[in-house]
Amino acid sequence: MGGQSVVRTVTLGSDGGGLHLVPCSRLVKLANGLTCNVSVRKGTIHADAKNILDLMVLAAGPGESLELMTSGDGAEEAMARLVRLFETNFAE
Amino acid sequence: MKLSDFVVPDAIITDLVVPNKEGAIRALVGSLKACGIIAADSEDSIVAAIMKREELGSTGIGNGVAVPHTKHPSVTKLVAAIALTNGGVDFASLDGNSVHILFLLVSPPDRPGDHLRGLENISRHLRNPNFCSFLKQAKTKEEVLTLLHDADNNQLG
Repeated sequence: MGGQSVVRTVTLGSDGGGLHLVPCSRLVKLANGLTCNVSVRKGTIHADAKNILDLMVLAAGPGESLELMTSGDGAEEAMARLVRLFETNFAE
Repeated sequence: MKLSDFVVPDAIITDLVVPNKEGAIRALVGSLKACGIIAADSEDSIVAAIMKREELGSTGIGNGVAVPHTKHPSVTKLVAAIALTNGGVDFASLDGNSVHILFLLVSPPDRPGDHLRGLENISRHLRNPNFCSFLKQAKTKEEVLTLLHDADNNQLG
């Protein structure tokens, strides 16, 4: 696995419900289809984006910012897909 | 927020036997009605809202757990019912396995933060293998309440 890692900050829509179960499910589904590692950080709390319980523990509300990090093979392409998921408000 | 802040003690079912997802949701909402937490004339509306929410994607989050939920104006604070089922219920879960532990949440529409914190609280405890294991083994409402108390006080290791 390559050593590449990519970090981006994303902001949850202020008119949505935050990172509740539907967005978490869609994020997990995308992350589990990626070969690289994917993590999400809110403040000091880190979550493995391939683990739905980890993501729900973030309790990220509308308008909150999160830091996404991908590392390993295809990290750059994976980040583009993750950012797009947030930008489209988790539309499938 | 603690589990004891929103789990309704009289809305805990330890021997749920139902044929399907809707039966499970109806039983859990019925338990909230039976102890006066929701009005009888809101029951069908809440069940319908939860089933509609399930159409967006199953709340069966894997490892035998489901957290069906909805926002509904019939409640003024976040409330939850719990059901345990030995036989399991098909919830079309993320991992394809049947569900043995259900947390059903109803929250007021104007307090989305409570809903997120309730899910956060449940998820945090579900990450503890001891919590899931002990909950699946609980046979009585009292055993479940003791477990919730121990979880709230970080006494499960």
